[in-house]
Amino acid sequence: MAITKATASSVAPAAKGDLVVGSATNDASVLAVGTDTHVLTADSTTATGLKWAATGSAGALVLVKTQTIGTTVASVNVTSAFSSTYDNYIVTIDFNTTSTQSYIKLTLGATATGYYGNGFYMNPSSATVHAYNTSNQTSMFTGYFSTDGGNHIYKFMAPNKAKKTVVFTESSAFESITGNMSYLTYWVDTTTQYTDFTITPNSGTLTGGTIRVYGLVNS
Amino acid sequence: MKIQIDDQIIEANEEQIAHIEKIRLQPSIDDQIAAREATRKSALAKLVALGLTEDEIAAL
Repeated sequence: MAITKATASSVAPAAKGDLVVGSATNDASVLAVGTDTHVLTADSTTATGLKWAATGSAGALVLVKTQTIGTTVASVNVTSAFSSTYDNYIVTIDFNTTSTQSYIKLTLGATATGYYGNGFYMNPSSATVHAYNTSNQTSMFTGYFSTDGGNHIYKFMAPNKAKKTVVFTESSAFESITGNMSYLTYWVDTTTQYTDFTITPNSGTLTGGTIRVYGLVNS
Repeated sequence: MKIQIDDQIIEANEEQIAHIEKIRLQPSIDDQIAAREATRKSALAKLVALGLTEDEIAAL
């Protein structure tokens, strides 16, 4: 069917990724390119009947970012991890090797105060559960790693919203040490809207491994 | 000291080094663990001194 109302100039794409779509009978308009990783979906409430949206239905995980850890680095700052697209995020970290057995201190943005938390940790050689609590610290202790690595998972609740961020952490190190595994919960005493986080080993350096950031689809 | 920002690995400047040192300066988790273990052992010793058996202590 011929388009009679729109002219070539009025529907000319302005940028890479823009789409020319039908907006009414014999009419067309330009739909600007969406956010990276977003997909096109139908929405009868928009002018074009289409919109860009995060993939997956409510509750689905969408990979936001993958970051490889470099060689002998004293900290890793992951930027553009959080945005208004999702309320909550899950971060997985597979540590490869480290210069010494130590543990991770996690910070959000430039905040270096006001971290409160508690939880517990254990040693695989003992059934003893060690309680842990801390208040108004410069960072969050999120778990150990040994020289041959370890795995951590962090769940960030509302890091980019104007409310206090809560972080749930789980960790396991490949070594029989106290703190080999931990389950800890933190909150940050500020309503700063964060877009990045940093992991810093308490001592030594990190070499290799992968950090993945997933957004939890709101709806 | 090298730090990583996304894919960039750079030599940390004075401000960045000071920030990392501040993060690392908070009370050591190892010290906290040791302190808790010392407290536990001290309490255990007091219970033994009171005449409790291992089974009685375990049942507490």
